[in-house]
Amino acid sequence: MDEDAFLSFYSGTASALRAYVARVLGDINQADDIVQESYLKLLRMPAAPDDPPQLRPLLFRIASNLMTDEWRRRRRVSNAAAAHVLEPNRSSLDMVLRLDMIRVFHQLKPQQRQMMWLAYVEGADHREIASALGLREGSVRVLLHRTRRKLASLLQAVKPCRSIHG
Amino acid sequence: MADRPFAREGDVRAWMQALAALPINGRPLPDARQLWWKAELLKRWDAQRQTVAPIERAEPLQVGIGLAGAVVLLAWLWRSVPAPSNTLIFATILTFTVLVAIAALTLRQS
Repeated sequence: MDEDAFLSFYSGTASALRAYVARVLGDINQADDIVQESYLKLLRMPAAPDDPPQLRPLLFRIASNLMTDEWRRRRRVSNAAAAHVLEPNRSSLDMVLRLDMIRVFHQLKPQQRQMMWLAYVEGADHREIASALGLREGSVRVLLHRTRRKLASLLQAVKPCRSIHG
Repeated sequence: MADRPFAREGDVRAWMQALAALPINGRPLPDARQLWWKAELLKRWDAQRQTVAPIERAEPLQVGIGLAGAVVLLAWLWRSVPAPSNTLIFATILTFTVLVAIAALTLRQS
């Protein structure tokens, strides 16, 4: 890949990758580090494909692996500082609803968050999700179904809070 | 959707899209050109390390062979001496200690 091709690829993927990492990880500083590291790893790969449609899933797979490493590191460091949680810079009831969405999303397990994002934001199919997260294709189908059910139950649990606020 | 959330696939997609649309407050994205050049530098560094790696791996072996040779030479010289004096014993131990110290320092630096 030459410089111009990379610049074009970067402009088409950087925002999406950052949103994925930031929302799944919940920490913007860590997210930026992982985004940078993902691109650097991709560029340093000796046999990286040149085709952007093939590069995009590979980039998300690298970022997913880096996030997994980060969670393992956090588990090892017991006295980890509280994450700089992403919160929209808005006021009013709208902000409360937005915060609800983020809180609900973060009640899912890290892998569940990754799966949901890849499936419903990135539009990845089961095979691509399996490849990105190191799972079997059949497992992704089952895990996605369970995650949807869990998200539904979490949203139902949030409803009484909303009625208290509003 | 309020009573039965996520009854349909489309509801999930809509909820996730709404979540994805939330603004992220943070620094601007890193400069692509800067990332490109950083990666280029790292690639060159990787290539240099790969080139030098066999030499670095061979250094301890080189020191080991040198040390073994010195020990063999000392033993051979020792046998050829008819009656070793105290001075010769002292000189041999001193030489051997210096050789071990040089080997240890070389291995530590590599």
